[in-house]
Formats: sequence, structure tokens, C-alpha cells
Amino acid sequence: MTSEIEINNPYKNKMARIMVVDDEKDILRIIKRDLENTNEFQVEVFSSGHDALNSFKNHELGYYDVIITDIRMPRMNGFELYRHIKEMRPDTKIAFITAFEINRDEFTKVLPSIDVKDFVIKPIDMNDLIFKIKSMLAT
Amino acid sequence: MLSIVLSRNNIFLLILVIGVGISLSILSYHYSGLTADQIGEIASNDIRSNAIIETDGLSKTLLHIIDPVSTNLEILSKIVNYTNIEGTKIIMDAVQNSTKSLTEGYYWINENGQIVSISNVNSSIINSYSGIDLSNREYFVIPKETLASYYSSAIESIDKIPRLYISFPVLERPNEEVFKGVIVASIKIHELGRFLQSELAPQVAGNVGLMDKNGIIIYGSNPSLIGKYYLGEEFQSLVPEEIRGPYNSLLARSLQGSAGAEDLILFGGNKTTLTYQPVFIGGKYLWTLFVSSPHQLAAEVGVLINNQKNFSTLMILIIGAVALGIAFLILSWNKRLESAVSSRTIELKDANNSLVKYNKLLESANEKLSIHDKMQKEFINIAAHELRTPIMPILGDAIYLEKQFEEGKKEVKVDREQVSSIIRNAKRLRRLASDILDITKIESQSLKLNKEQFNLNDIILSSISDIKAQLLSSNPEQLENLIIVYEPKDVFVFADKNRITQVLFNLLSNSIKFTERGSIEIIVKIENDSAGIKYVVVSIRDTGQGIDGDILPRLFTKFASKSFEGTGLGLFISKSIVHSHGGKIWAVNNLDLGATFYFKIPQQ
Repeated sequence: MTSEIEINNPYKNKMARIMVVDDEKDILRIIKRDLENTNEFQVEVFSSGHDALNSFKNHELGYYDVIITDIRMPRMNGFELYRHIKEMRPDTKIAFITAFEINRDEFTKVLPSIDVKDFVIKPIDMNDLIFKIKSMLAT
Repeated sequence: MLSIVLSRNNIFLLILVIGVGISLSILSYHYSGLTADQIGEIASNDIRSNAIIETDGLSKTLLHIIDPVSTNLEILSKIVNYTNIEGTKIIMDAVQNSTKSLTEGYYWINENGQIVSISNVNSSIINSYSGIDLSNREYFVIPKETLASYYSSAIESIDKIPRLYISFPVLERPNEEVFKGVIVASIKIHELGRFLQSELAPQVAGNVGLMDKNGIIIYGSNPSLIGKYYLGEEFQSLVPEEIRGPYNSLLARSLQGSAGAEDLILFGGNKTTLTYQPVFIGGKYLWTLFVSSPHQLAAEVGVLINNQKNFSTLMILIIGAVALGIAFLILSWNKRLESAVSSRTIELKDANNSLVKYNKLLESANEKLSIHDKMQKEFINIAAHELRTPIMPILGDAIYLEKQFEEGKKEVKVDREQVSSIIRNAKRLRRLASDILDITKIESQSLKLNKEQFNLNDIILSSISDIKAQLLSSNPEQLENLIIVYEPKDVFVFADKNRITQVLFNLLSNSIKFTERGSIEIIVKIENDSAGIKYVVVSIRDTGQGIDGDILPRLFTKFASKSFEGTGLGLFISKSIVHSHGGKIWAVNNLDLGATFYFKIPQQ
């Protein structure tokens, strides 16, 4: 697959590494493909919060530049993942993708403990997602 | 009005005012009483000592007026000359003139008891009296016997006028032992009494009395008692019975020849001081002079002070009553203000309460609204999630392919995964659309059943094969770890075939969703209820994670889902279908592992 070639390409090692977490495998496939087609990102995808958290723990600080996670997932949802990661590395940049009908105020109201700066509503317009990731990387 | 004032503080204040008033009254009354008694006592003492002084003075006055008479009589008795009657008479007239304020006249009686001469009376009249024998009169007999002067008691004559007689014997000189007659002076007792009374100081305001040493009343305020013995019936009948004893013993004491002053308490508490003083004439105890001094002044002072006392007490009572009234008014005014304030407070409170109640109503309405809102929101969220999630892979692949055309390609390569993904997600959308449609039908109560006779076995088998096919496409790994146990058996039932298939498929896919490994067992039984109606009971037992305790009570309501794939509508729709068949659906957690779902519907 093209993605495998690109990951293994040493030139791409300087590229920003993005972790994408979603229980919908079809969605993971599309996000990974579309992000990697820009030749700007390395993408690692995980279909559960547990797998994502394990991978996060097993890598050094700063390995992942941005984490994008779905909210509604079985067993460990996106918020739980967010908390675990923030506990370990508070400065980690995390954005949410969700299919929920929700805006930022409602987000803050429902979960005041989570500082939700960035979230993207499904279905994702890939151009939006790319722009969001770039702006997160810039801060 | 009373009840208004009777708050705790007000009662205390009232009691305080009443207490102070009563204490002041008692103090004032007591003090005034003491003062009255003391002043009364002082006045009584004053009256008593005054009476003693007066009586003493009066006895001296009595002596002073009696003395000249005695002296005159003594002189006359010595100078009378039977040989010169006319000459003696001139002297007698002169003597009478010197004492005429007291004496009625001087009489010269010879040794036979015949009148020789009378002062101020002409001889012809005297001659007409010459036949009268006075030799049996005391004023003749006693001097004749004793050859000494005689002072009579009160003696009533024929004319009913009580008189006092003093007589001196006429003795023949030189040896003076031969009785030659008597010189007598008659004194009208009224005159004596009037004189004594006039001599009495007016402030004593008492009465004078005179009694001889034998207890015969010589003078008293009551003329009818003159000449009467003090223990006699006439006198005693006039002495009030309650003081008779002490009065009589007082009089008896007074006749022993010594002076004294004693108080008598009369009926009604009036006090009288009776002062007595013996009168000695020529060294002999003859009479006792009495002065009775009623303690009228003291009584008056007492009454005055009593009045004062009553007045001041009354004043205090009035002032107290006025103070009480004012206190009462202030309190009631205060109370009225308070009650006005409290009624206003109550009004405000009521208004506030109704506001609070209204707010509560609003709150509960809001709550209901918000519950409704929340449910609505939940539905929208789930619907949004379920609608958006499948769209993304479909759209994502389609856009990806289209992009390649845009790059100038005539043909693009589509791999198997892309096609499968599109179909899978499109089916998911279709299922959601049908679920939403079912919900709409259920909620608008327009769910129609098309009942027919069919074999339950057929739909169970087809459901199993469908679900296996689905699992093979989405999660082949799970299919390897899971076995579906079912013993095929023909069971005919009269029901809506498609709807019952929907229920069966729903329960089956539900079980598979939560059972990663193990088994799912489907059993069909026939059951009779108490009315003899036959039911078909289908149970689906899994070895999954079981039903969450939070979810169990609302398992068959809308959106009660722990799944992150489903709509949370499946079980609600299943319940509605089973109920519309007149059946029942329920679920239990197994004792060991997983859960079992049951539904039963009438066979016919």
C-alpha cells in the first residue's frame, strides 16, 4: 500500500506524526489515506482507546505531534483517552472528531474539566481536518 | 383586644407595672397606717395628759369655789346670835351676795330644826316657814351628831331640783360643845355643774361629772341621774353593756380616794379617757371629780390620716391604673403595628410562596422540558452519529475516486475494500432509515401487522445465516470464536413474519455485539398460560458481558444503549412489535455469564 511505502520512507521521518483513534475502521482507512496523500503527515491509526494509549505509553515524549480521537467509542471513549494522555503529558495536543451534533459551548458545559480547543464534526471535510492539524502544529 | 396584648413580653411588662403599682399601694398604705396609728397614739397621750391636768385644775377650781362657801358657813356658824336675828340676817344676806353665783341661799336653823332666818328672804316669808321641821334632814342631823361640818350628796327637794347642802353646826360658846343649830348653804347642782363645765378647757371637749365618796352621782351630763347610785338600775341601764364591767370597776377604783386616768374603749373602737380626781374639803375626802375626754381629736386625726391614707392609696391606684391603661394602650398600639407588620409580612410571604411555587412549577416544567429536550437531543445526537458515521467512508471513497478522474484519468482502480465499505455503510444507513421509520410508526401508533401463518424455524435459520454473513464481512475473527447453537424444530405461529424476523434479528445481533467469544443459544418453547392460551417463547442466551445494571431497568426504552454502534432503537422497536402481538419481551443476566433475552407471543 502507498501508506506503507511512505511510512518507511526515511525522507518522511521529519513529517508530523499524527495519531488517529476511531472505532470505525472505514473512517480510519479514509483519514489515513487522505492525510498521507498530502505528503505532510505520518499517520498511525488505532481502532480503540486502549490500543492508542498503549502505543502512546510505549513511545518517547513528543513522538506523536497531534492526536485526533473519536469520542464515542466502546470501552474507553475519547474523553477517557484524553484524560489518560493529559495526565502523563499535559502539553500533548489533542483534537476530537465527533459525529455528535455539538458546539464548543455545549462541549464545555458537558465536560468542564476538558479544555476542548479543537474538534471536527463528522463527516469530516478532509481539507478542514488538514487545516486544523496544521494550525495545531503551528501553536 | 386582650389576646392581642398577651404576648410573652407584654405579659411580663403588664405584670411588672401591676406589681410596682401594688407594692407602692401596700407600702403607702402601710406607712400611712403606721403614721396614723402613731399620730393617733400621740394625740391620745396628749388628750390623756391634758385631761389629767384639766381634772386636777378643775378639782382645785371646785375647791376654790366651795371653800368660800365653807368659810362663810364657818364664820356664820360662829357669829350667829339668837339675840340679834336681824343683825345676823344682814350678814347672811351679805354672805349670800358674795357667793350668789353658786349658792342658792344660806339657812339658819335652830337646835329644834326650825328655820330661824334665810338670806335674802324677808322675815314675813321666813315666818311662814317657821312651822317646818327640818330636824330629820341630814344637813341637820349629821352636824348635830358630829358637831362638825357636813357636805351632802345630791339631794332632791320637793321642787325636784337637786341640791347640794353644806352645813356647819352652831355651837354655844365658850365650851363649844352645846349644839345650838346649823347654818346651811344650798347649792343648786345645775349651777355647780354649769360652772365646772364652763371652767373645763374647750379643747378637752369632755364632760364633767361629780360623785360623792359613796358613789352617789352629784353631777353629770344627764340630769336624771343626779342623786342616783352608780350601781343603781338607772345609771347602769345607760352604760353600754360591752363596757359595763371595766366602767364599773373604774368607778369603784375612783372612789378609793386617789387620782387616776384610764382609757375606756367604747363600742365601735372609740376611745375615751376617764380622769378622776378626789376632792378633799377641810382635809376630808368627800367627792370624786370626773372628766371624760373622748379621743375625738385623736379619732379625727386618725380619720383624717385614714382619709389621707385612703386618698393617697386611691391616688396610687388611679395613677397605677392610668399607667396600666397607658401601658396597655402602648402595647396594643405596638401590637397593632406588629400585627399590621406581621400581616404584611404574611402577605409578602404568601406572595413569595406563590412565587416560589410558581417557580417550582416553572422549574418542573423546565425539567420536563429539559428531559424532553435531553431526549430530543439524545435522539438527535444518536441520529446524527449514526447518520454521519456511515456517510464519511462512502463520501470519502467517492471523493477519492472522483479526484483521480479530475487528475485526467479515464479509468480508476477500485479495490474490494472500497466497494465493501460503501455497501456496508450504505446498508447501515438503510437500517437506520428503517428504524427511524419504525419509531415514527410506533409513536404515531400506526404500526400495522400483516399476520400470516409461518414456520418460526424458517426465520430463525435465515436470521442465523444472515448474521453470520454480516459478521463474516465486518468481523471474521469474532465469527471464529463464536458458535450459534440452535436445534431446528418446526413451530408454526400466526404473526407478522417480517416484524418477528426483525425482532429475532435484532436480539441476535444484539447478543453478538456484546459477545466476543463463546456461544449464543436459541431455544423455542411452547407454553400454556392459566387461561389455556398457547404461547411461543423464544430465548436467546449469550455468554457476553451481560447487561449493565444501569441500563437493565430501561433496557427496552429508546436510546438505552451501551453499544457504540447501534441506534439504541432496536430493543424499543422489538418491544413495540412484541406488544402489538399481545406478547411480552424481557431480559435477565445469567448467573454465570452473559444475558438471556426472551420474547413470547401467542401462537395463534
